[in-house]
Amino acid sequence: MVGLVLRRLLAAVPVLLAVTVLTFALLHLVPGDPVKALVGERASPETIANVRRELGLDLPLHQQYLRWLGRVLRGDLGRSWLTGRKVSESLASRLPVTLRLALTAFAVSVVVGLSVGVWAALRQNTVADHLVRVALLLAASVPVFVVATGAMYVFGVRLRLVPVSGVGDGSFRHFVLPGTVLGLYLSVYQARMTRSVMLETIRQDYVRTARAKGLPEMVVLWKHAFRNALLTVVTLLGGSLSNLLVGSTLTETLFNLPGIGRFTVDAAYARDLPAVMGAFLFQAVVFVGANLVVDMVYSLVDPRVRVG
Amino acid sequence: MRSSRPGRKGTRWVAVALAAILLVVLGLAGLGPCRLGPAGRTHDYRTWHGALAFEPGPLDPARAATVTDGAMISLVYSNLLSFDADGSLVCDLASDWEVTPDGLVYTFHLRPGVRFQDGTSLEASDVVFSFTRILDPRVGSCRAWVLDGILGAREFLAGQADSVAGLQAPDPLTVRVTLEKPLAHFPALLAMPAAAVVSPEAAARWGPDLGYHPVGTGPWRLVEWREGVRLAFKRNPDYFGTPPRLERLVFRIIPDATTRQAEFEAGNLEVLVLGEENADYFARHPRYRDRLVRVPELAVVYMCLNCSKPPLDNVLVRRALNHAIDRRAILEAVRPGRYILADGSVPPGLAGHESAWPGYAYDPSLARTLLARAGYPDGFEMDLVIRAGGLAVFLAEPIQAELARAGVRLRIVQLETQAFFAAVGDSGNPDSCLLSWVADYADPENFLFPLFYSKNPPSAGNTARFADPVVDRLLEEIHREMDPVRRAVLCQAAERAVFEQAPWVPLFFPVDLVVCQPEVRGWRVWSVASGNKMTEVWLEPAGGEP
Repeated sequence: MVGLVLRRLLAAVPVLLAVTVLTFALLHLVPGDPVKALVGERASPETIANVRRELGLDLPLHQQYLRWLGRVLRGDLGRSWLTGRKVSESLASRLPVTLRLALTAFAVSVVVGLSVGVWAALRQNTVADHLVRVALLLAASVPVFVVATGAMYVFGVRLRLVPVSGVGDGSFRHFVLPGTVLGLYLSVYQARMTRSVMLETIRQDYVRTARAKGLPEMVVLWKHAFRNALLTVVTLLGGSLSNLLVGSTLTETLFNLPGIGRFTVDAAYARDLPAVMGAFLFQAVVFVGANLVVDMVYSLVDPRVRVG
Repeated sequence: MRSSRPGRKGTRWVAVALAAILLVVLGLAGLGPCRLGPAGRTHDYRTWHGALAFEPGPLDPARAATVTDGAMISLVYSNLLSFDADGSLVCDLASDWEVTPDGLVYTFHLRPGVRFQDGTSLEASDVVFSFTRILDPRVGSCRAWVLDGILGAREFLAGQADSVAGLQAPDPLTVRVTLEKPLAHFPALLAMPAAAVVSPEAAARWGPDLGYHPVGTGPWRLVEWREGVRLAFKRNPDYFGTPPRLERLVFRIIPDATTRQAEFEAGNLEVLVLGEENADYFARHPRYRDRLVRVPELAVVYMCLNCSKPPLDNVLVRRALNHAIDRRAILEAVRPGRYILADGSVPPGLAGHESAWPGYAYDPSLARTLLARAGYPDGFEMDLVIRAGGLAVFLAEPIQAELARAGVRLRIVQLETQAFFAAVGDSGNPDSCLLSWVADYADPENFLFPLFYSKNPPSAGNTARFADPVVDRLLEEIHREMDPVRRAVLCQAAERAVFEQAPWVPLFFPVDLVVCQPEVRGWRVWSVASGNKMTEVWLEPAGGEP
């Protein structure tokens, strides 16, 4: 296990470097001058030159990158060009928002997705199964902003069960609606995947053997079928969790939750280089970390991985 | 083949377990029955709840780049002069002021006894400090242009002088500003957010973070700023002017228009600026239809033609394009009731608005005749660069259709904001583009000079690359002319001289539609947003409602 973790951590270094180099290059390739956006209209050429020098934009590209990298290695992500705030502080202030949204959505999606998936699989080709499949297809086809806006109006504006939007004082009340909407959305995919994986497992020889042994159906289903189906499902869940942890931009924007996703998009629109670099680095770290966790969970669920 | 049916009991147990987990999660999330309560307005009539579409930059006059920045800055700080609701100049920190007949030396007398929010007294040297700070090359302010007409400012900006020669404080209550050359609209520049007076102590203490710890002499004190969430202000008890009628202002940052509308309908916001998508809805809404306010903006939206690039360098072609487009029909379809048709650049209500100038009437056959005379009987092809999202695309497509009838094949190039500004800026050279210009101060000069003075680069406003010696001379005269009546005549002459050359297809002066809650009193939209210090507005229970 320790070996696995170490190997994975070492392998992460070139991945992270590549992500930062690519992000940096992309930011310089896309059209648009960040300085113009900063200084606004009517700025004199001297002002523009001053700002450019202040930001280090007069240096050659590789020097700019190395300067950034050097600072990062010393734990300094720099200051946002747009707001003048420390990028690390901005990320830190937004992380709890994304974390709360991610965990609420993840919990909802796992509970709903797995149960609906298993439930439908056990009723394959019945009316109920067909209905569930059509419903899931429909649900997956509705854009998230339609569902989000609808939910906001029904539960926030009309019924007043939950706050309409925003984080307010940061209490979990504010995450119920966005978390549920986002979670239900994810659960559609999880349910479909769980259903097909379960169907595959149920047909395996060892399940038939278990039944033939006369084991109770509960044990057959949970110990033999579901446990094996979990292997595939855990990979899928890991993927959705890391997706959630890097921020769900649309949900964050619609429900007005200032999380990592919104931060990244705002920064990219403004060509705010330190902010974009910081955000992408953070996301890459989260992604690598989440995958590592998935691998570890995998080895807990599947003893074969532990041996290898 | 049908798989064997599992025992019902098993799945039911699972369902119960999962439901229990879901309940626990939701319970943790705060949906417990005891905490269930209304999310709506708490009916605290002493706090104003506003919304900002995006987070403002730091509340530092040196960094004020957007209208929102300016609006927030003017809550905390004061200027020598400020704008009233109609955009006229009024005294703020200055109790009165005079200018020498040659228009070069301004003397401002300060109100005595004004205190900063940190308790220190305001003196003339603080004004000099604040202005010098904007011009300091080490500060690198994007707004240095506001004050660079002061004598010695350019040398100081370029690092060739230790101080700004034209800024003096002969005694603690007198500020004397000497200009390099006469600038008739200079007092209006002093009312801009960039010319706000900051506390030197705070500037020294906080350095680059001053904007997050602002200390001014304005009616409001910043008490909370949660990044991406909200800004909160408390009434400044030591404010020298009319004290605000409210206790607190809270501005929530809500980027999405639909979300803002939902919050407004839930009673969580006092006012809402309407857009294309919801203007009709509120106009018919039983609760709100009587609460709509129409507000003309000091702004102009136009199709900019590149006067330096063939075939648009030919004035006949530019006039033809003006005649070819039925602007009223387009606007009636796109923005009914929320526009004033524009024939020039200066909005109505400002001295230079040229009501006698007839503009170019819709006349497609004249358009074709003009194109033929210019040597394009079969028309030509050109690009129209627009910003993605928002109104531009709704305008661009009908314009394309209208021009097609005159034989001009318009290619619409849609670009994301930053790419758009790069394409229409100094490095780009588009045939035409859709743009808008919003006034920094209520003066026709703020339209005519930046937009049409030949020496201004596209990034400074002259995107049309317009160059006309007669117009240049008129604009220079407008800067020198201190008599308001003669100046207005000059502005009208300049506007006419510009639009006879048809550098734009002017489209419209926007009219905003704003809806406010029935509890809102004394509220109005200020023609220059940064003039509004939120001191006159208050909230009280709407008549007949609980």
